[in-house]
Amino acid sequence: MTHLELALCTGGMILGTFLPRVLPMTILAGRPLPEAARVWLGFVPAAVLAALVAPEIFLVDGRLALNTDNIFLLAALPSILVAWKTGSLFATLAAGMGAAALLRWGAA
Amino acid sequence: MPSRSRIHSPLHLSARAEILTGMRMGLPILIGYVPLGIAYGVLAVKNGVPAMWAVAMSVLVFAGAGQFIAAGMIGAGASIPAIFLGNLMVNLRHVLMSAALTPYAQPLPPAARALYAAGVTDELFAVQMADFRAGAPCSSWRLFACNLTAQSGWVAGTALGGISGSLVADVKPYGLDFALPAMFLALLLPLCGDRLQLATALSAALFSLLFTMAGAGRGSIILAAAAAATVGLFLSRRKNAPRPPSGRGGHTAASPPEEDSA
Repeated sequence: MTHLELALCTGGMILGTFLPRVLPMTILAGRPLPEAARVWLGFVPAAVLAALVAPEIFLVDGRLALNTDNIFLLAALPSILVAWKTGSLFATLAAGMGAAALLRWGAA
Repeated sequence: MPSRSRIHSPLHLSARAEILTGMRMGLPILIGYVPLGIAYGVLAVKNGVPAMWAVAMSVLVFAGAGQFIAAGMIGAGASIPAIFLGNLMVNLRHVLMSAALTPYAQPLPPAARALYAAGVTDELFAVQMADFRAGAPCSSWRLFACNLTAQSGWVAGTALGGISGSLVADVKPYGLDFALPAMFLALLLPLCGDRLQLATALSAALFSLLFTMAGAGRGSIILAAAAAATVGLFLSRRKNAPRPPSGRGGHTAASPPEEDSA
């Protein structure tokens, strides 16, 4: 990637980050959304996160891989447990990345 | 006249106190963001993002999951509009947080409010919302000190990771390639205490797998998320038919808190 492309890419990331963070607090402030939109939007975070993570942990090369060779599927188990119990981003990352590293070390 | 300096001094002291409070609030987040930033810096370099640009992104964008996704997409050769959409999609969750903070941040001038809102990550939202709910007044000194303290950990971590990234031959033995899925799980699981949210997440996972295996590509994530949120809306309508949907956690964040009297 050239510097120009990286600059454009950063610009796109700034827009993609600032629009959802800034708009509700500025021009949308005091203009409540319709009830249905509000409820629908309330389900979007869980929906997006689950839609993003499912292919990462259940698919290997685009195919369903429900077996013990699937390192990400196995590493997801301690991650889910720690995320559920602690709600801590750092603890979940440590558990997940640690599990993935250990599993690969054991498999090697 | 001595009175002038006496008027100035308490203001100055209170700004300092607010800055210190903000830094204290941001410190635990800073400590968590350093290793996260290292992971991001290494992955960014491995995906062909120069270390300097990775640091620039951490300064200008400051979005953990969004930056991780962008690094992966850059490595996969995605187009710039696709990277923008990927960021927008994963950051949509901030719409709710921003709306929830709005009544408390109202005293800030519009430009300061926009700048403050741009720097509120998931963790900063959690800490500041709790602070506001406990009755803390809206102080720009405290809010910006808190945001900047946390961000300094993210930027420092990115720099460390970016520098050492070229020394790491492969990220896999360190489990660094699992950082993004682990981050998604860390953000997702706390939402799943609510049964409707859990049902939405499970349908999103199912739709996403089906669409991806059917070959819908990147668009399958947006389609699956939109379909699952609609399922959630439908379920909440059925469940709460006689009374308006009420709840806790993420999905009431858009409604202003009732104790708001500022």
